[in-house]
Amino acid sequence: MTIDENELIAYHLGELSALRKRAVQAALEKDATLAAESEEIAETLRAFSGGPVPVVDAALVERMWQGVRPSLAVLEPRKKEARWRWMFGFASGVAACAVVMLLLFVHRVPHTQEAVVQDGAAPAQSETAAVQHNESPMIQELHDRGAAKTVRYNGKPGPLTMVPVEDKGFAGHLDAAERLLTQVNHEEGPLPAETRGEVHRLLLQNAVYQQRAQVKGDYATANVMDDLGRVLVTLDAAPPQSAEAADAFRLEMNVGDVLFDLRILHHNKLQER
Amino acid sequence: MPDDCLTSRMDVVEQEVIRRVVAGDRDAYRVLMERHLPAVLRVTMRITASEVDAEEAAQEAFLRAYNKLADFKGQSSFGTWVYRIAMNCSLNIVERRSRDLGWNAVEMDGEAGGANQVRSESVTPEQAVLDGESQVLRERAMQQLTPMERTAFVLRHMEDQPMNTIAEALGVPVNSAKQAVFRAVSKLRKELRPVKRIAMLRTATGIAKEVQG
Repeated sequence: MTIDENELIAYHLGELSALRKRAVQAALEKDATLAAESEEIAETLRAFSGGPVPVVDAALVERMWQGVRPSLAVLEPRKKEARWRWMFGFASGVAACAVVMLLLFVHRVPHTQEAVVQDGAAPAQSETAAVQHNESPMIQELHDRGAAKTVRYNGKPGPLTMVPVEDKGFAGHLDAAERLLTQVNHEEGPLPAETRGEVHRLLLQNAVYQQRAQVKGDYATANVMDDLGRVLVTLDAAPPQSAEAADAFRLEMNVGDVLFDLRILHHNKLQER
Repeated sequence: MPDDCLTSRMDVVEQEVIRRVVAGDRDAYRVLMERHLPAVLRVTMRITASEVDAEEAAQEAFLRAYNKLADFKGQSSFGTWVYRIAMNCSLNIVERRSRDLGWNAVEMDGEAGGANQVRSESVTPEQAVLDGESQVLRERAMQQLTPMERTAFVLRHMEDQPMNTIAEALGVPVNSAKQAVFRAVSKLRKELRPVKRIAMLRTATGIAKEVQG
């Protein structure tokens, strides 16, 4: 083991690990030259041990104080307003985040309920329900559009209403009408014979439901049924014709608007159930 | 346990003084200064090796501590805090002075040891001469060190500060601070061989007097 001067200095300054220190001690016991060198280092350190210590008397303290005192500015307690302001800002931010989260949560609740209702819907309506489940952004859009049109019919509330739809037959009628109008809206050319039969059946049913809604004072539903009835009457009365004439006819009927109202009513029904 | 009680009582007193100073009572700061001046002046004296510079460094340390007193959180005692500030102030002065070419000559011409330094009153004139010569040689040896070596050596060996504190004060890694101390001891060892001879002479003088007596 080689022990150099630095290691001897570290030994005397107490900078070695216990293991290394024992190794140096063992080497010093065996090597006289190394021991002499070690003693010289120890002597050097002793020569600088302690050293002169300044005497601090009253005169020196006074002199030092007089040297410092003129430079001392009057300190002011650190103002805590800034800290409080910072805390207030932080608390406001947290509160704002909480409000935003709450609003998001409240908006999500109806959709969640809708999904639950759809899962338990009747088999006859499961197809439409599945479509709606997959089209939740579309439903949201309908909601938004409906909310912007809450007053549509002669100053009375529009179809977007929270009034429960109790009649299961009426719900089925809405479902069937919606599917029919979707089909009419997306198909080209004259309607097939079976579709025309479905139109006629719905027309008869629609007259009953329109009348019932009017009697119950549900004018919003009655108005939608009235619009639907006019479309159905036109479709039922229209003779078979060429494809171009059928397309022009659909544009004229404005099927899209009626379909929109129907979807909202249907959505309300599912939500209430 | 009594020492702990005394220390905690002193801490309470210091905290109260600090509170008063921060509240605007400038004169209360004198209490802190009186209490910690000896330790601060000792370290500044050892690092700068000059009474004038030591006092300047000490004043600067107390002034810096005062200006930062509102930010003093009390993680350490005020004494430890101002001591570290004093270390930095001394180091700054030594570095500033090392750029002044005339510094060594002035110090070497001056009297070894200042008027305010402790001396044994029982020394004979011969011993005083030998002590004086020995002191001059020690000072000369110290002046062979770079500011960093001197500061590192003084803080480690004389002030018994740990290496990490020294490294922090010097703004270098711990290993560099350690190497600076080793280099300092090595240089001092070579420079001090004449002192060793003086010590031997001093011992011989003492023995001769005893024989004569």
